[in-house]
Formats: sequence, structure tokens, C-alpha cells
Amino acid sequence: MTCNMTQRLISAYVDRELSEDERARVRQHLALCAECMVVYEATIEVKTALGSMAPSPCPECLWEGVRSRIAALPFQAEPERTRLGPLRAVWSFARLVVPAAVAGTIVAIPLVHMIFGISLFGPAGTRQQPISSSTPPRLVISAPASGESGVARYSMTRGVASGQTASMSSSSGLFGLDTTARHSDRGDEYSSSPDEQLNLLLRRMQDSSVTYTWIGGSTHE
Amino acid sequence: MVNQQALATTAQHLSKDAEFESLVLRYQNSVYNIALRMSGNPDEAQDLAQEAFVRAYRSFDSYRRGTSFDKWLYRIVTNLYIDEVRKRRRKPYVESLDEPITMSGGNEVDREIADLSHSPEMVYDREHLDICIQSALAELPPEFRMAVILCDIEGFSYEEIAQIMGTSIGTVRSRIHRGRRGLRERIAPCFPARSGEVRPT
Repeated sequence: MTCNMTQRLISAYVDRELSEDERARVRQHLALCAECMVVYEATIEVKTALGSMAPSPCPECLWEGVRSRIAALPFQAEPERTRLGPLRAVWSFARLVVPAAVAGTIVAIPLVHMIFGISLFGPAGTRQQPISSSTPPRLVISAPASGESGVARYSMTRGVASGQTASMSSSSGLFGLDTTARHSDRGDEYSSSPDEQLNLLLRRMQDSSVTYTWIGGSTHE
Repeated sequence: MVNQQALATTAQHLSKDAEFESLVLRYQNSVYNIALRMSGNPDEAQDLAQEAFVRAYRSFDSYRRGTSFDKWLYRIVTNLYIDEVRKRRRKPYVESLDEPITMSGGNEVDREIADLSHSPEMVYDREHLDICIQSALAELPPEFRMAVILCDIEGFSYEEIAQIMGTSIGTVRSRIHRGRRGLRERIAPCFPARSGEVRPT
């Protein structure tokens, strides 16, 4: 084995990342070559020097910075989109296509009327407008008084259509680490201490597109 | 129906947040340390670490539970640093060794700089050695630097580094070899007893 080949393998030799065969050949060469031995020792020195660099503890504010940036992220509707699958797809399609179709029709009607002399207006001429997608979701929260145990409830309404509400009750660990969820007919139920949960929930809901209304319980700030 | 699922999603987000927080708190020191060794600048390291965690949070859904979170996270750090920070070509943070230090009272005090090549006891001065190594690291191409940091500071195997860096083991071997070769020459002056002994190969 040449010095060049040996020196190429020295780092991996030091790291014990060579095959037995390569290892034996490097060892053999090192025993006979002073120049490569110097490189070997210098490589160990580099590795040792790097490994003994004093670790720098991260600044206290690091997680706070991450937390505030995460909180500033828009409340994520994307998973909703993927979960809702076909319904959402139909809605997205309609939301794009309906206004375009309406605009197209508005342009086409006078044209047809002018060119062919056909009146396309029916007697009523009413057209249903799509539900505004700009209406912010509305969150309604009811919670027991601070410090008391009980069940916290909140519901969210999206859009202006009525009847599209859903509620979920929570009671412990929903926002803690040991989350256990039980499914019931009414929705997902969780056990929890309402105080902490609602504070966390509110923190997540600080997105400007969400409005919340208290319908009971104490004020959680 | 629709919004009930939205609420279930909300609940998942909230428990995801709690899980994510515990992972950040567990790994923030090593992520910051890697970022610091990569960038050489505490402010930049903090930005880099925070950005990495925010990215990790955003793609947390695609992270498969049960797989190694740290490797997944370090891969984000690696890609982030190599792809983005390098483009900015920021100067590495190097502390001046001869500028006077401004004290709290406004007085300036000259630094007493020992000549490393003539005072062997300074070899053991941790701080100076770290600054010397950090400057040497900063001169390596980012890919070599990251491979060496992951190997020598974080203690990963070549296979693990290959996973983190998204390359083959052969590439890792080559990067570490070339990275250490660059460091050997640059770190040699930090060790007066050995300086001049190592010839470039």
C-alpha cells in the first residue's frame, strides 16, 4: 500500500470505519512508515481537539423564540384540507369555478341577447351566491371557573352557513404529553384540567382570522 | 361533520405542540451546538437553530414517530445551513485577538496575547484552543465541516452521517478525510509542540 492510499484511509482507520482487510493493511503500513505515522498522530490530534471543544449551552431564549414563531404561524388549515378529501375538493373547485361561471354568464347573456335576440332571463332571475370564504371561523368556548374541575367545551363555526357547528368537550391531558382520546358519538372527548387547556388553546387561536366568544365560565387570559 | 373533523385536527395540533415542545427542549442544546460550530457566530447559530426548529415543526406531520428524531432534525439543520446560509456568504464570527477590550466603565484594556508558538502551557488554554479550532473549521467547505462536526463533536458513525447528510458512506468517508486533512494543517499552529511537524500531504 502506498503512502497516498494509506493517508486516504487514515481518518476512517482512526474512526474504526474500515473493513478488517483495509484495517490490517493500514496498520501494516503505519508500522513501517514514519511519515504516515505523523499524519496518523496528527489526525488523532484533530479528532481529539474537536471532541474536547467546550460545548456551548444554547441561549435560554432559544425555545421562546421558536415558540413565538410557531404561534405566529397561521392556524393550520392544511391538515383539514387533506382530511376532508372529497368535500373539500368539491368546495375548492366550486369556489374557483362558480364566480368565474357567474362572470362568464353575466358577459354572455347580453351578447346572446344582442346577437341572437334571445332573452335568457327567466322571470325570477335569482342566483344563489356562494358562501363567502372570507368569513372568519368563530370559536365559542365555555369553561368552568378558574381552578375548578369540570368540562370545557368549545365549538367552531366556519362560514356563514348555519348548522355547520361541531363541539368537542375536553376534560385531562388533552394538551399535555399524555394525551388519551376517547371517541364518542358527539365527537372526540378528552379528559383534562380546563384551565391549562384553554390557555393553550387560546394561545393557538391568536390568529387574527379567528374570533372567539365566551358563552360561559370564567375569563381566562 | 366537516367542522367536527376540523376540531379533531385542532386537538391533534395541540397535542402535537406538546410533543414537539418536549423534543425541542431535549435537542436544543445539541442543535445549537452544531449550528454554532457550523456558523462560528452565536447570533447566527441561534437564528439557524430556531429556523431549523420552525421548519421541523412545519413538517412534523411527515416525521414518522419511532424513527430517530435527532437524525431527522440534524438533517434539517444540515440542509438549512448548506443550502441557505452558504448562499448568504456571511463572514464567520472571529473574535479579534488584538483589539482592546472595552470594560464596563468605558476604559479600554489591552489584551495580553501570548505567542502560542513559544508558550507550551497555552496549549492547554481551552478557550484559545477552541477559538483556534473554530477559525480552522470556518475555512472548510460546509459539507466537509458538517461531516467532521457530526463525526467528532456529535459522535455519529459514518452510516448515520450518511443518513443525515443524504449521501453515501463513501462520500462521508471522503468528506471526513478531506475535512480533517484541512484541519490538520490549520490546527497545527494551535499546538506549538507539534507545529511544523506535519507536512501537507
